[in-house]
Amino acid sequence: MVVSKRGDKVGDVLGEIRYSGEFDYEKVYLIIHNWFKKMQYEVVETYKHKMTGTGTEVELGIKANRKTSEFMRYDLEVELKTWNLVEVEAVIGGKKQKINKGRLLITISFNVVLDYSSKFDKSEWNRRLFNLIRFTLWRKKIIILWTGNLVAEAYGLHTQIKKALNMETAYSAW
Amino acid sequence: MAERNIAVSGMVVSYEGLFNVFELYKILDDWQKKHNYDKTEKESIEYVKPEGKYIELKLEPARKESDYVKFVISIHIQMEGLKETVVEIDGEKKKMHEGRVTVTFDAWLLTDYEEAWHTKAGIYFLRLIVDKYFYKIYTDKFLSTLRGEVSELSTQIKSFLNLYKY
Repeated sequence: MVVSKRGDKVGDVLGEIRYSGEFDYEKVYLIIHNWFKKMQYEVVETYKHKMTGTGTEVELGIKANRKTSEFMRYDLEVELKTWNLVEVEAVIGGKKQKINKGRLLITISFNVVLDYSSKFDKSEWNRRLFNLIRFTLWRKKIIILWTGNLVAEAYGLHTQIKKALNMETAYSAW
Repeated sequence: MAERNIAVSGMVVSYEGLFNVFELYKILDDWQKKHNYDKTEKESIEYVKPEGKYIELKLEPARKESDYVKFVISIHIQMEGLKETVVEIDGEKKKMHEGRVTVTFDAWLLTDYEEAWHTKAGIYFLRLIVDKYFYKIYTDKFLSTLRGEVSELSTQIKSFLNLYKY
């Protein structure tokens, strides 16, 4: 877990998912978006699309945040990169469907942002009070409870993505 | 910087034959939850190749024993040449995989993971003395507990894999 120098962000990279083979890109994209919608996150997307000789390269960046209170915000970032993406026809459940084949890398990162509206930045006294709160009084609450809750949520998304890719290890005990 | 005391290094469980990938992963996940470890899945790789599926997982579950000590287990799983088969067990058809699996365990104690005793050279020296002469009995106890837990997990995995031998 990385704490920013100012101490207003606690976060890290959750993990990477790498997949190579046949998958439904649209299904993966919809699963991610529907999950953020269900969990009431506000989403901002960046998209890059490049045609190459071996297939399509896509870079999709999804930044989502949810204000849990006036003081705290949950930030999640999903980076999706594909290489050699081509469209293929496959028989799924007895029906012919168009899916994709290629390589995929998904990276999920999380951050708990404290004092996102800079209410404690207005004066020196407020800044010292903020330091007292986050370094002493609420330190364990921030790291164990709040960050722990965000990590648990992020692993929910992680498992949903694995299910969308029909990965063998799509399971979470939490 | 936090210090590591190695409890387990390079413990390997390998198997070749029939097994269920989903059930194996479920065992690891359930074990982590049961023993109150924080789940950390650093990498989850799955490649579909002509010679069979390749699956690689890097897990690093951790548990805070106290403000000073943290247990960390590194589990590296590699599955090669996986081919899907359907097997009948007790009259029920089940999806299984045939291939090779290697599970490597490493475990260590992370002491002073909050780096509270690294602020000044004097405090760091005091910590070294306390660790070496006064806290050693607790460190040894923690190492023993961690080794026991890793041993329990590897035994569980071995028992699971051996189930499909017969």
